[in-house]
Amino acid sequence: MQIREGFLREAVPGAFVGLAAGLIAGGLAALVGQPLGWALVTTVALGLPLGAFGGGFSLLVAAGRLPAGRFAPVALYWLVAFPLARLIHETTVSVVLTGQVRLPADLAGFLAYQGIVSLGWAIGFLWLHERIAMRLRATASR
Amino acid sequence: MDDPNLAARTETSSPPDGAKASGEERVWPAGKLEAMPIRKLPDAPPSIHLLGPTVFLVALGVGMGESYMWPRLVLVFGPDIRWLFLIGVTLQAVVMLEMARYAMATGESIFFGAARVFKPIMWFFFVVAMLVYIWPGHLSAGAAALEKITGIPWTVSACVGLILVGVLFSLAKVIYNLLENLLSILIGLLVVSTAVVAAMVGTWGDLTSTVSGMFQFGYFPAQAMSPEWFPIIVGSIAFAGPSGMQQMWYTLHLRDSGAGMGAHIPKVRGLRHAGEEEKMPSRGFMFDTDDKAELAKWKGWRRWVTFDALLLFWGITMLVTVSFTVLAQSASRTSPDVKALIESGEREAALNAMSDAFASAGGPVLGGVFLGFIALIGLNATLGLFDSFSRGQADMTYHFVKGAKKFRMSHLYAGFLWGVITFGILILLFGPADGPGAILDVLAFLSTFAMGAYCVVLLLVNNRMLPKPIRPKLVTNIIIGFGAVFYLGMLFFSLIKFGVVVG
Repeated sequence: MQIREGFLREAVPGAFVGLAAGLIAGGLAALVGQPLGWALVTTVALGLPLGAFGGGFSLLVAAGRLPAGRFAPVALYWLVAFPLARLIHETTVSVVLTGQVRLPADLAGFLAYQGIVSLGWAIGFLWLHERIAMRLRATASR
Repeated sequence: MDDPNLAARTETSSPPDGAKASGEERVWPAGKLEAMPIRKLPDAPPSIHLLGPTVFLVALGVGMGESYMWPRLVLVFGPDIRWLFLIGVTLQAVVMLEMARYAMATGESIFFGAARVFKPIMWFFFVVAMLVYIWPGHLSAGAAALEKITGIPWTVSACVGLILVGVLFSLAKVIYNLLENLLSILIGLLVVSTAVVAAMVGTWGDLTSTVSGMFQFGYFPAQAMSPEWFPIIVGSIAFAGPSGMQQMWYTLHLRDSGAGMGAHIPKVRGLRHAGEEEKMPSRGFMFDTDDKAELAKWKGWRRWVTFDALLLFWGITMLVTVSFTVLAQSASRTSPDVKALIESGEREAALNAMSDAFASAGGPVLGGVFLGFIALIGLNATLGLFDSFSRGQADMTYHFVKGAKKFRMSHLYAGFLWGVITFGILILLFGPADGPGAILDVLAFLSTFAMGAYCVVLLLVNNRMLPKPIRPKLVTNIIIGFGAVFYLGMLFFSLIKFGVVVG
């Protein structure tokens, strides 16, 4: 049980950043008067995949599979994960709003664009991830 | 000692704090001011783990230049004009590295370094800071965006914000730690959210045209060479990344973060904890540049700050401005009115129009997100600016005003902080927020002139006040020299050719 708790704790920083991004998008949607349902779909459809990938990243770092605090591994990880998360978001929103699974019109262009944007996301992710992880380590050692 | 300047000498007066009782201490005599005692350089942290002072530079630097001025130029002249932005930000990254060189090697601010060369240079920057940064105009864009979202009148939120900043900084145990934590979260959220929104709104075409425009070196349309646009382009280049004196203040944040020899200098505390502040030494310290182990540690520090300059500073500034340009292009496609409004130069109207265009492009959420970003950028800049101004003025006052050492640095900091806050509130309520109309041109001139001037100061300070092994290389000197010519040249060209200072 203790091992499982420790395992889950390691996933917190990355999962938190991902979920926070979804929450911000959804929260702002609600703030500017979007229907609650739309805001919830955005929060869940974007926040969950980003949170899951973020948590996965933290676990890989904790397991020693990825080095901590370096930019290149984070950028490569998100180069794959971020476009996937966005694809999940787009398709989920289309399913909820139209009832049909619709992929973006120019799928290759969409994925390429998301891949480029993922570099910016990776900087912000690493920035927040390091800070939260540091804070958690400090709390745990107290 | 290979370097003839690094001399061992006998101190005749009482030894500086921490000096050995033997009476003999090795020192580094730099300029005519008090020599710097030799101390150990701390070990450098591994890469990103000391997420530190760059956050201040990003908070100050990512502002209207990135979110408004450059997107505006792209809409007017097309994405190819962005090569000037690339040059501006890259130049600022090198300036940042050179500011860090002096601050990390000595634990002194660049203002102290300037005083070591020639004291009036430092007083020039003291006066410029007082003239340029005392006006609360920088609050207006962020507070106006907040008004649009919440309906709270902008003067109310600006005044409340000013008092909150003062109280927050006065209660903090160590101001640097509080502000670094706060700004790190805010900047992190800004970067992550900008990426998410850009991912949802932009297209591959917008991105490729924006990015490829950065490499169209030499593109300068005839329309840009007009009295109307040239000063605006000069101003936008000066506002690419940190502008005015923001880079100089970065040396104070580096010192307080404990980077390099800054570890030997006590931190500035909030007014409530001023009594706990250790005594501030009257000068900085130098490490033994003939010791190979010390030089290896120095290289570690240089690696660390280079990582900060390239990835965090350059990368984030680029990301934000590329994203905002993509957003502006997307907005102008959806709503042609926005292009006319942005071109007209009515900032608030243009920001609102961009927000409306985002709303029609991607639902009301995007309009709100855009204004939220502007408010967040305004908040970051305000937090950073008030702290930086007070820190810089307090540092110069403490070291160079007779009798100021009777106070603690924290008291002087609090004095400048509350002074600028009180003045700011009075001006917001009764006066012109940006400063009296008659001197606006002078303030804009001084702000850009200071950038050219600090490039000259960097050349003098780093090449004359540091030991040879850690002085900048020729290439770096050429780039900084180019910076001085670039900023001062464009400023005076605009003034002489068009009779207008920066726009």
